[in-house]
Amino acid sequence: MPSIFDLMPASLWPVQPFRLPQDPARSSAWPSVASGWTPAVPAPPPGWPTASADSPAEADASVSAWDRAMRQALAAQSSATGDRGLGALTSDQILANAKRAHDFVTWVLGPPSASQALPLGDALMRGASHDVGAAPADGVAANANAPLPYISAPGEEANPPSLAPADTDQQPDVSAAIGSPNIERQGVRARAIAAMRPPPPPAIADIGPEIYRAGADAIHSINAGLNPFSAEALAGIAAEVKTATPTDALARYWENEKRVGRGLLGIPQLAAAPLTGISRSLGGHALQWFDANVMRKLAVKMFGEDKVRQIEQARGSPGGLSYEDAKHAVDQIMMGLGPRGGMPRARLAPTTRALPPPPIGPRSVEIAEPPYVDPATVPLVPADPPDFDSALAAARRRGIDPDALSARAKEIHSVLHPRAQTARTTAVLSTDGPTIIGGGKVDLEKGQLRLLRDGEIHSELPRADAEPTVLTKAMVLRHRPLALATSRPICSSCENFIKSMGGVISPSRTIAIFPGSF
Amino acid sequence: MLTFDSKQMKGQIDPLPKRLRVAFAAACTQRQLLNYVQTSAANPTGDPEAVKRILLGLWECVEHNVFEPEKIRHDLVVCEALTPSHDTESFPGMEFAQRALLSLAYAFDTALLDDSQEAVWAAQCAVEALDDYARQRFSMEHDIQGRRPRLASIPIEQAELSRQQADLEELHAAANDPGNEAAVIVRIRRRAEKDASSFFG
Repeated sequence: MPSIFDLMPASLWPVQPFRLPQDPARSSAWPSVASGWTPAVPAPPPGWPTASADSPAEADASVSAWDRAMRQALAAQSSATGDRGLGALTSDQILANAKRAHDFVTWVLGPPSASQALPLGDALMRGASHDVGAAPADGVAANANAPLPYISAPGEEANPPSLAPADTDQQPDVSAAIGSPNIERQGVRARAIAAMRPPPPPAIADIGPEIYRAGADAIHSINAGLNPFSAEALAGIAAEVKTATPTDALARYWENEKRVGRGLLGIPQLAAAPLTGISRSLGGHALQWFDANVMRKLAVKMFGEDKVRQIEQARGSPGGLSYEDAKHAVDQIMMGLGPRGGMPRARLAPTTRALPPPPIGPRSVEIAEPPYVDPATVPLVPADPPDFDSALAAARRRGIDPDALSARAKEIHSVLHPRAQTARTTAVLSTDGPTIIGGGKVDLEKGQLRLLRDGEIHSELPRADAEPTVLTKAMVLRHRPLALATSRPICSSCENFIKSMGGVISPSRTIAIFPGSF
Repeated sequence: MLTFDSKQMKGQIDPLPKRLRVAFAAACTQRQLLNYVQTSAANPTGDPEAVKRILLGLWECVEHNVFEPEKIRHDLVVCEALTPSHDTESFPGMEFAQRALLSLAYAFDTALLDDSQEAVWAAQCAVEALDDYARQRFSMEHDIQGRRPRLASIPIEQAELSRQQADLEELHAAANDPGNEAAVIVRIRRRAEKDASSFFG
């Protein structure tokens, strides 16, 4: 039975256009100078097969000398197994894949550093040829056989010792390769010293290998995800060809996206490889030690050895947490320590708020037009203040006794010596808070202050009249004035001040009542 | 620590003759004279020369032990007219100028009346001026009840109380030696004139 995709034109299938993968065995398909992208391939790293001068030239001139050497090596290997034709094809593919991977990594990371460690150290650095490709991998220059001075270790006798470990006979015959007994003797001595030196703790010793593994994993992820000619990418293309249904095509598409994502993620992983390796080694060993020496002992003390062993066997980890499991746990912990909330959001620029124009222009006293008021219905003349008698009656209904205030003012004023009584004034102000007492022109003297009772406070305002002195204090303390009594008649300026606050002054001009505060 | 006790001071002054009482009150006024003179520029009714003149006339009365009531009343009227009061427009130092002239008026009262209380009030004006000055100068706040902190221990107030006690001791000595009164009065006057410049420290 034909499916819907058999009836549908192929152009409408929800799959990506298929492009025939390039033949990886054809070196002409490799990006060349004409394509604008030429991977810089430096001299091959030491130890890699190199082309010998007497190797026969390949028919394909575009194949590099490095390729030819690899092919020859692989062909020789395959010929030893018998099937030369199939071996040549396989070796070509493997060789091409390896070269692409190498070139891609070189393109991403740059060419390898020129100061790579060479295996022979001083002897080579003293004048040996650096052309490793033209020399045996483990060879040294012939002119390096000059006698080297013996370097004695601290506390060691001048006579060079003939120390050699028990497995000296297993060491390679260096003298045969170097031809210098001094170098041989120093090598033996260095190995003996190294053998006697206590090995570093595994948490330190494993740092280097862990960094290497983390970096290698990251490079592999980068190559697999971002190199279009990697084995994973080619396998994905091959699987895409075989897709028969849209579901398969969608699954392949999703797999490719994940692979690219892993490749992108490999870049920061590669940058963080040293930190990852250090944390894995230190944290893994520390966690393993803690689990084996603390947690397990604690569990044994709580549940017994037999029970703990049963649990470990059931879990598949006899003796506690393995180093690999501990590393995995450390990786999870490190991921858990990462920042949360994504990238910090950039600060927003301050926005300018559009405010409505003020009703008053700058440097202007004109106010917006007041609301219309009909004078026929609302009198614009303010109401007359109540007369003193009605205000006094209202004050007495509130329990305010102006006569008592007046008596209190005279009592405090009488403490002054006679001439001071003539020249000064004493005022007593009743408020909705404390009673405020003050002097005019000269503030209250010591003798007056001694007469103050609870609920009475003193007000000071040098050289001011007594009335403003006590009223200002009430305003500062946010108390409403109720009634005011003075020791002498209120002057005209003080009268205006009292009226401005809504006060009504008695005919004797020694009492003022503030009916608006009731 | 010295404190101003009006009753005790009155008891000290009572035994003194009128001449020496007036000398004590005039010495208290003399030490405050600069408080009036130095504020006269801002005082709308200030007349420092008139005040100096009537105080000098009082000292002459004391030194000569001649008290003419008419002249004293005249000078007292002048003093009362120049005293800043609640009707006077305020000016800086008004409270000190007022106390200086109140003290002078009490000195004239001492010369007119046969009572020692006026001499006590003359001395009280000086102590109150120092108390007020210290409160304004050092911005001493009052507690919530409005009671003023104890100011008796302020050095300038203690110095004035010491001077008053020293004057009273010398006057008592002069009272016991009537032939030495004039010399003591001159010495107290000179000393008061000298101490006036350091009245506020």
